[in-house]
Amino acid sequence: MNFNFFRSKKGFFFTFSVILFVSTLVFLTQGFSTKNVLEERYIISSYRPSVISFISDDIAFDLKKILGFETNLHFNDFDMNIYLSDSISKEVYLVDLINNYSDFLSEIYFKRTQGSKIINFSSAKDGNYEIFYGSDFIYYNNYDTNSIKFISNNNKLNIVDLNIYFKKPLINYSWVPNKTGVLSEIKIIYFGDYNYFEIIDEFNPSESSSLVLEFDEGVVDINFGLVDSKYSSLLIDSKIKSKIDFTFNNNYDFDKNELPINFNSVFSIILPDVESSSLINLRK
Amino acid sequence: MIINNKGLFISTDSFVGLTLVFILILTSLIFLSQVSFNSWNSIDLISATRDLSSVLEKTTVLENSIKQNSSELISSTLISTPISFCFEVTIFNSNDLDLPIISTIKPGCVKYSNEISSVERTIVLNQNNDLEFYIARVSGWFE
Repeated sequence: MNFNFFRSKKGFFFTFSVILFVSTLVFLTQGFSTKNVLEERYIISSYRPSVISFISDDIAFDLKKILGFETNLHFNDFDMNIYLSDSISKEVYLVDLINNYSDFLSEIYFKRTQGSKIINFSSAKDGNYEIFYGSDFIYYNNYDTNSIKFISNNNKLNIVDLNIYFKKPLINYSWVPNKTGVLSEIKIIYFGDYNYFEIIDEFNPSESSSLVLEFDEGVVDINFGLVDSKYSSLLIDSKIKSKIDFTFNNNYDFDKNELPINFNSVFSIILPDVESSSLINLRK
Repeated sequence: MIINNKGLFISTDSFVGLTLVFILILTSLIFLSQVSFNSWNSIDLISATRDLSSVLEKTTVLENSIKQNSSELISSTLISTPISFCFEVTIFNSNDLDLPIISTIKPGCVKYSNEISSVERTIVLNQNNDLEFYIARVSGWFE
């Protein structure tokens, strides 16, 4: 029997065990380290785009204060209520306000945060600003001509609830509804420092119905239903220079899962692994 | 007898070696499956800081604090935040970004941490169509 052979075999097994032990330790440590780094990188890169919605939300909130509007939307499986509050004849040159805000963002705020950011308000400085409710509705506030339009794209209108406020005396008003065909409910409340009236009636949203308000300064025409060949819409056209506040809360049929509300201005951002360009989202 | 002893040593040696390796692998797997990443804590902190800044702005706490030139409203909001979070709110006028007009820390907190998350939010004051711009910096850290 060669005893030296067994002696060397024992050493071989011992050495082999140690090598296996150490190499396992090294491989597992390396594996853990790699996995950890990749996971951390994935987590951070996945979270990075959330800064877009944070800044967009910040800008959206500021825009509402600067332009003086508020809007929201509530829906269920069957219908939705679109709420909008704004004014006509804002008695201020909005382009200056938008320019000041744009300068503040570009010159100060964006420079203090990571990445490259650009805000483009050009579509809100061309005489009117727009709010998109998905592809179903568009709201135009034309501050150059003192008129607003809320255009519906083939949506069934159930109820119109319009409130109008004007501080000066109302001389007269005339309500001419079109009551042919399928009718929708309408509720109008006018209130001011001197006058108040309320209309609760029905009208055909596929045809034009009108309310005319007469003031010393001129008239305000309000059309319900057919506006720009689109039914279930609304138009307020003011021929006076003083500010008129209004809110509407319209109820429409609804069969979708979501309807984003976007302001027609583009916010672009470039960060490591993130490049985005989107409209300002007003709905949170 | 000598040959049997050698065989015993060899068997024991490999058994101990393999057992150690097995225990190591098992321990490593347990360790790997239970590992928690620092990133999640960082993201929790960033989310909490962003949420707080949004809430402070949308509830008009920041706007009213600027108008009143007081940090009382902010402090009373900070008290109601989760106990494990600490926050500091600092507001700057856009005309002077070096000197804060308001600065306050959540009562009971000391600003000392290895990890502090800061976000900035714009504040617009529209007073009769005269715009004033401010920047609110909200910093957060774990207590």
